[in-house]
Amino acid sequence: MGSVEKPWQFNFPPFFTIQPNIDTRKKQLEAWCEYVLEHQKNKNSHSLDINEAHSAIFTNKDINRKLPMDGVQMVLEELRKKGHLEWKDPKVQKECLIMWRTPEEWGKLIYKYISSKSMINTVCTLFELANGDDTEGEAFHGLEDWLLRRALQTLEKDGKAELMSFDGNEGVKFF
Amino acid sequence: MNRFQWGDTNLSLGEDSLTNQTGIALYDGESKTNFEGGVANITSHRLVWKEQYGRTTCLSLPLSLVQRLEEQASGFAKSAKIVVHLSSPVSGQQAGPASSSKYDYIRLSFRDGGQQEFLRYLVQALREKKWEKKYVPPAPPGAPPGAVAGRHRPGIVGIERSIQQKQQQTDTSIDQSFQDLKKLMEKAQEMVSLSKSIVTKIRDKQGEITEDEVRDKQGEITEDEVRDKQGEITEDEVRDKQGEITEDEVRDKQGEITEDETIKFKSYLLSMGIPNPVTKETHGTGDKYYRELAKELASVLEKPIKDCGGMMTMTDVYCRVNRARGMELISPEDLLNACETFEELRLPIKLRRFESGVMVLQSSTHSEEEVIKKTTEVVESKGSLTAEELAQNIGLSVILAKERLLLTERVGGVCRDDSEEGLRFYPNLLLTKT
Repeated sequence: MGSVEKPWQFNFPPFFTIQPNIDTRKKQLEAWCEYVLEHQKNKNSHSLDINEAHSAIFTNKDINRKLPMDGVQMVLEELRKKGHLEWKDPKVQKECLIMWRTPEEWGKLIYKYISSKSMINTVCTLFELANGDDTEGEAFHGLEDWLLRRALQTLEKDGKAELMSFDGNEGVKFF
Repeated sequence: MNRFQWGDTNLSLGEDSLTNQTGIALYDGESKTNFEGGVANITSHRLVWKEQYGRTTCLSLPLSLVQRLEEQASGFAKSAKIVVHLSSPVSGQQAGPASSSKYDYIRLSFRDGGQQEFLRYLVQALREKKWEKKYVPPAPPGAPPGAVAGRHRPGIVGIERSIQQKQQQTDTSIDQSFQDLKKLMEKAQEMVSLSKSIVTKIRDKQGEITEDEVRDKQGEITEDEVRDKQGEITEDEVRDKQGEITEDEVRDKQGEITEDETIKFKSYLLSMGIPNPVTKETHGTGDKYYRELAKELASVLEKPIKDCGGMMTMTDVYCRVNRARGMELISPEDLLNACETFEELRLPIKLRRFESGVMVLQSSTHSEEEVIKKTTEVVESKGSLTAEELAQNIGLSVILAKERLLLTERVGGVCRDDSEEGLRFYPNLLLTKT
């Protein structure tokens, strides 16, 4: 995994000033959100500390620019609204979970795989799904347990899956 | 006995008790009273008699009513007495044991002795006449305790005392300073009433009250009086000669002003920034003075504003206009009021307020879109610009250059880069470039 590709805006100084013009600001925040998610995906990390992020993601030493903290908070708030971010500590807002794919998106990917393998109406364990040999190469392979569950829960809500326990194992049936 | 009133033994403020004597009986002149066997108390202000046993009845006599004293020595089966001659009772005196008495004196009978000493104290109290002196409160706190405890803790008490003194000094000096302010306000009042009277005179002058009209009101006027009219006439003189005259007419004649002087005076008022008295009469936005001024301004400013790129800040306008006028300057308030009538009068200039609070006069041929387009072009050609750089580039003041950049940013033509290095504007690639 190489280092993440930086967007062209990263070298554009105004990118590091929150724009007063509403339309301009909207595009600016979108660009930042995308960059944050790419960055996390590249690191394959679902965790983010706001202060670390401030130096690692929101600073460009080459042009001597840094997005101010309130700008960082605005970006993270956008991510939260879109469902990509969850605060581990909502009151303090220092640590958060970053889901560069939302649980819904994961759910859809998994269901797509399952139907492509004609595994509808079958049961499989969560372990098999995330770590089995068969799923190697799939995007969701190696997905962390908590996120896998959330993804399956979204499918449950849609009536496309059901989580269950059997023989001491956690499993899921797809419909 | 009618000088006595029901009272109590409570001492009033400043009253001190001097002596008591038991076994006192009161005589109303030569007659006995029921008030026997009581305690007489001399205070600095009163003579108080109280029943000895039971202590319910209590009489009080102000010493101020005592005119003179007499002694009556004891004799066989007779106790020593003091005769107290009294002046007439004071009206409004509180209720007492007797409402009237045929005697102007009472007698104190000393059945337990003690007459001599009692007399001495009574004389002393009458001599001191403490009831006539105004009550002076005791020395400020801190002084007596200080005197006593000072020996033990001089430091703290001394500090407290000096703090108190300082406070008193501050109070006094504040009072004094406000005295000065009071004087200033009085002078200001004088000035205001003076200017008001001048205003009235000018107004009246314009109302054209002629000498004839005055004469008509008054009847016969002598030669002398006509001559007097040109100078100062006192109210008295006029009234003396003519009888009934109204206030207004006298005022008109006092200090008559000529036409020229009126005009001169008005111009002084204008230059001082006092609104023209005439225009006070007209109301609403149709203020004659401001309209005239607006017309004048428009003709003076049209070219300079165009030369400046169609826009000039109000401060610039103010300076230029007053420099041009030379003598009769206009106040900022007048300038503003005049400018607000521009649109109404359909003059080719208009007053414009920006969000930032900056106010400019804008030529009506000035186009916003033109400005935005031009600004965007310049920024693009230079890559990025600060307000100062733009000002230099297009030959405008920094304030106006900044306004142009802000305006262009508002429509999305440029975006900003705000850092320690300053505020710089870039072409808005954040919006246009994907």
